[in-house]
Amino acid sequence: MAELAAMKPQRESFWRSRVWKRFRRNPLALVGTAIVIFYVLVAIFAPALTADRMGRNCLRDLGLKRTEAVRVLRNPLHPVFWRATLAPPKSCYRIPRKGYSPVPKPPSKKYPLGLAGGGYDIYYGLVWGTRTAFYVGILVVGIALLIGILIGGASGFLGGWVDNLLMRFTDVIYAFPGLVLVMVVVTIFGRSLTTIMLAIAVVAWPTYARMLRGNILKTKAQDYVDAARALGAGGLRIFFKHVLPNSIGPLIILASLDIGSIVLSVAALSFLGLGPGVGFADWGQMVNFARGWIVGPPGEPLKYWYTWVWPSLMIALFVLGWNLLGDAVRDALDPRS
Amino acid sequence: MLTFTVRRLLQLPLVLFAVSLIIVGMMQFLPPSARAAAFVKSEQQLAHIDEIIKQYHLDAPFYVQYWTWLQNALHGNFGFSRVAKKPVLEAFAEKLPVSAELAFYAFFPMLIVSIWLGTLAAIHRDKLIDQIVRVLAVLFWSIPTFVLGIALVAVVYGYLRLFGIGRLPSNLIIELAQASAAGKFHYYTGFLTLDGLLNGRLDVTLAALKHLVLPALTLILVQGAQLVRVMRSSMLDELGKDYVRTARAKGLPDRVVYYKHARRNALIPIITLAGLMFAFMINGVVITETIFNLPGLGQWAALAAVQLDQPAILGFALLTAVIVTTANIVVDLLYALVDPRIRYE
Amino acid sequence: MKKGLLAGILIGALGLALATPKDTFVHMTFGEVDTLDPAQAYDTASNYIIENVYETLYGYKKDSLTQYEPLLATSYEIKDGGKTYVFRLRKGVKFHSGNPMTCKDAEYSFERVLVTNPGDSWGWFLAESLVGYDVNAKAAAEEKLGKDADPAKLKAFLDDYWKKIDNSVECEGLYTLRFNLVKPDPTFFAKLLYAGAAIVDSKWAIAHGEWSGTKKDWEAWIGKDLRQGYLHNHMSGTGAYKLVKWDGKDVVAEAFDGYWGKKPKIKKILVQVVNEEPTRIEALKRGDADRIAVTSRAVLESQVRSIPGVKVWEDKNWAPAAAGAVFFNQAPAAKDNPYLGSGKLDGKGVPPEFFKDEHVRKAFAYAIDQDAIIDELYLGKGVKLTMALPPSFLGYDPNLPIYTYDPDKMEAHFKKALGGKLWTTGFEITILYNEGNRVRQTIAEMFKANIEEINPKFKVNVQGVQWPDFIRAVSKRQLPVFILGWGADYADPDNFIYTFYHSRGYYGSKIGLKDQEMDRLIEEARTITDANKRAELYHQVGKHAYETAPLVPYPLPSPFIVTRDNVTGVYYNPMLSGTFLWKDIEKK
Repeated sequence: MAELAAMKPQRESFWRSRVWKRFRRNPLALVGTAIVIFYVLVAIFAPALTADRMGRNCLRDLGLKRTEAVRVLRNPLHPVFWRATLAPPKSCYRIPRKGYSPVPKPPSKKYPLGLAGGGYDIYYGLVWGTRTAFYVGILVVGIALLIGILIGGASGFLGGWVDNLLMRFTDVIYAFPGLVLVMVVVTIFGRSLTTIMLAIAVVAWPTYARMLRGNILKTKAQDYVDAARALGAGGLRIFFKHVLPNSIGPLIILASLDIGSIVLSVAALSFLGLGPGVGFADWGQMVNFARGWIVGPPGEPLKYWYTWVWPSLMIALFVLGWNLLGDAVRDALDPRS
Repeated sequence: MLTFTVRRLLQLPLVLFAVSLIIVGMMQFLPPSARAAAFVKSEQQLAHIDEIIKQYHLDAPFYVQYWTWLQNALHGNFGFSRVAKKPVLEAFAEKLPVSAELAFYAFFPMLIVSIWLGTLAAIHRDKLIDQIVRVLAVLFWSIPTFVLGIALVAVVYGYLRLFGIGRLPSNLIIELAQASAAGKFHYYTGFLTLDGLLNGRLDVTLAALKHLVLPALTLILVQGAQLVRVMRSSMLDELGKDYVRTARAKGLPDRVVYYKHARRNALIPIITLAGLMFAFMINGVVITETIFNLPGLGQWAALAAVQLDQPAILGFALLTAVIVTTANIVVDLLYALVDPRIRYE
Repeated sequence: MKKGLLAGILIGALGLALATPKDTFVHMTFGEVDTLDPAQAYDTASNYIIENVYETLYGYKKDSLTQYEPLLATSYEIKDGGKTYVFRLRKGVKFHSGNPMTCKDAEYSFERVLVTNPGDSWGWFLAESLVGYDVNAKAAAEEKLGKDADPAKLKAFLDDYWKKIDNSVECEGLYTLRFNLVKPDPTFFAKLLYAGAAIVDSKWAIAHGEWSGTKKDWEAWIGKDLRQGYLHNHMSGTGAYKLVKWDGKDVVAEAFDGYWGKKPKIKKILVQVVNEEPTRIEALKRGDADRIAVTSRAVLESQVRSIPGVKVWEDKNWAPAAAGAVFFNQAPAAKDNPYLGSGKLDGKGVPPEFFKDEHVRKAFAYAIDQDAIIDELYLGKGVKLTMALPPSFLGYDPNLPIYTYDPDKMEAHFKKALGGKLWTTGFEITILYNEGNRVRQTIAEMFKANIEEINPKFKVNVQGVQWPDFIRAVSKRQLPVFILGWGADYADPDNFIYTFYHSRGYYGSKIGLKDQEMDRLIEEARTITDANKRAELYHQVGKHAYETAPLVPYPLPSPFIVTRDNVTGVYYNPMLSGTFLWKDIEKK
């Protein structure tokens, strides 16, 4: 076994590794990281950031009176702060409305980003929408990864007819027109966020399964695996100790970078009328509110700019951040300079 | 190679069978009254929902519904699409050219520009041009398509008064409707740009082209952004390889090394992505078609999905499966042809 | 030749478009035509085309709902106390195919409606007057005899049904048409103005494979989905316009040379479906569209009104031929009902008898802020309704009081509700609206806000559901409170009053309404023909409805029409799907 250990590539400390150094030197990498960290902070501190404008139901479910909301939600020593941050009630995801006028209102002191058509507070929607974006992104990728790893892994490990069957099954799902399948599933099973996430995950996993299987096959063909087998190591042990860790690593990294683009899929669904209910804090919904207001009256075509500029920027920056981060990570992992 | 292709093709009917079974199966989760809702357009019709359920046999059990559909399908009858107001096959035959035409005029310019930009960015890695291309690419890919589309409609069509929406301007729509009813204009291919020429009507071709500019541009910007990034990444992989270093050390001019050798090899993985993108575009791009009012497959599929137009969803899913599977096979074959290291047993 | 071609290419390339020519009318709208077969179509988009291409016996005189214009009939008489209608038909009328119109065509057209009567068509209201059943022969047989009926009994039933159809519409010579009703029906004339009650070219239809018009092949046509037939996308009528092409989306029509009436000024029509509103507005701005559909007053006022070259037609007297209301279900399904919460009076749900208590209904009625709806949703231009009936219809009483937002009265009624217990125990209720309907969503949310403010123990959940789920819940009678509306089928108050307030009316039955007094008034009004007497009866219905509050109508937006400013002759008739007919307008 000592010989085997000598043949495996050494794992150096991450912080001293070349990978990290390359990553650190790339300016776009730092920009990407900064952007993602910004969004993470916004998501975590959503209750604190919107304490002064929460909806009546959210406050009611948290057990707070409007007068004490700001004091409590910005105080990390108070238990309700933690309740709101870690497990806020569903009603907090409903964007509060100021009046019901379908005409948007421009930014003001109380509503710094303005009111969308229907009186929805854009600032609130974007802040809580950050949580939704992460929630959806992480869960979708997580579920898709789980299914993909199970199927791709089984396929790669067992080979033979199991591999064939699973790959053909993957082909079937792959052959489905993605957006249409998601739309049908959501229409049938309801427009809750859960259904939407499951539907997108179901369409996304084939890519991961295929990737994992490909990685496994490549790794299996490598020399040190042959050597291990020659030295007498069992099939299962080889798989779980050597093949899988080397195949899964790149997959998980690449998959996690898809988190950004899930947001675009959900936005597309909102556009088509299948997003989570109207009034739910989700960026796609917010852009959809702006749909009829992208052009204003003649003479002031950009009159309602705030309805679509802020949400679009929010989405674009989020995706940009993840993509820059993703490019940088891939570049850093790349052994060729 | 041949056996590989034949085997993949033989698996196609199985794939189609599975796809159709899954879709019909899913629809069974809806009770008949909910499925009838798709037939009900107004509250007045709501009052007669029981008759509707009986009329369209919406309460028949799963296997009956599937069996009826399968028998008809095997005879070439894919049913009637309530959303398209005509038989499914007829709707598909009419809408496929619309989506394909847009795909055609968007795909090739996109391919050329993306390959060029991606290569450029890779060659001048980390320099200003690279940074600009990367940021622009990510930016365009991050903007929700419909924001871009509506912005184009407002700015270019509305404000600058250029180009047009829909497939043709209204005067030509009326004129062609009258002409085709009188037998003076024939839709040989369904591609307006071609049919215009085939009928000797250059003005139709030009008008159709004019109306394709904005939707094609939307697609080029959004999809092209993705392709640029992949091209750049692939090109970077190639440029890092030993043979490139050797060639340059040997004194070969950069231009030859990069454009003649490296880029050609870098294009290999692009084939897969490009092939899938083309298939994706042909299947219809929902949002673009909706905003620019093009009656293509995407718009049809989206409406069918939301209104649960079962025959249309089935027909569309199956035909799409055929296109995607075929595209996959073609791509795999091209891949094998181009890269001698790949072998299929 | 070369220069012209070059110029053409240049102009084409630069995208310089000319506004639509004077003899062409382009209408961009968002609803898709479902079918062009008059016997099948039951939606606005389809009837919009049908009303311009086919014609009925009589028509509305421009925008009047009470004055009629003879179209394919020149005079009529009502005999036998309202059981018989005799029409004299116009002579010298030609169909688009060239065939002359005679009584045979009329008989064929009406009998076709009665024979086919598909479940999702409008045939039910013609059939209920002429045949006595509102469903087609096969459906009626199943209702009466059960699913596996004895074949002999079935045949006898069908034969009898055919006899009824045959006897209900008869021709006396070439130009006299006679209807024999099952019983006097004062709404019958109004029903004949429905776009689908048009006269179709029978010779042309039969030649293209439609029903032969005789008993021989009628069984094959009973309840048939007419979207698969020839008349689905081909039309041969007598109207001022003939269909050139319908490709499933857009409709192209042109003026008919052989029209019997005044030749229209507009010669070419294009009705284009453009679902994206900003796109429609841009086209209007550029003059590529002469008329567009604008979905809300908000968009109209903020984006459309100020466009140069555009005219907004409106009048404060205009009101849609529709009514919408918030319904209180007095008998929701008790078992397996997710919308009743705990189903008990414990603050976590509502008991099924919740709305049986008049105090509860009135308390809810006072929660609807009608003024806020008009001010915020309709930007001040809305129409309040005193009863569930369009204001322009016979029998509407504008002097009845309307429930408006009154927190004091709300509190008073809530305190008296359910034996005084409701105020202390509280309740939790769910209001559903169908997704996509902003107006109804807003009304639901207003409800929630107003009720929850009165008492912290009152919880109102607002839920938007997809249309299929909404329908399912309504069909199963699960919803304790819901918001729905109704559009007029024909210009007679019975179409609304019966539907909303009668215990067997569509909505009345869905909310468990069993008010004998109301039923008596409504049934009486259905049988007498004296318009004044009927109006008086409907006034009483309205008054009674206010006093018992089984439902509360909500205000409707004031209608408007948007066209380029060179279009003249526009008028608003709420019974016309297109609000005006193409033949009456012109472009300067």
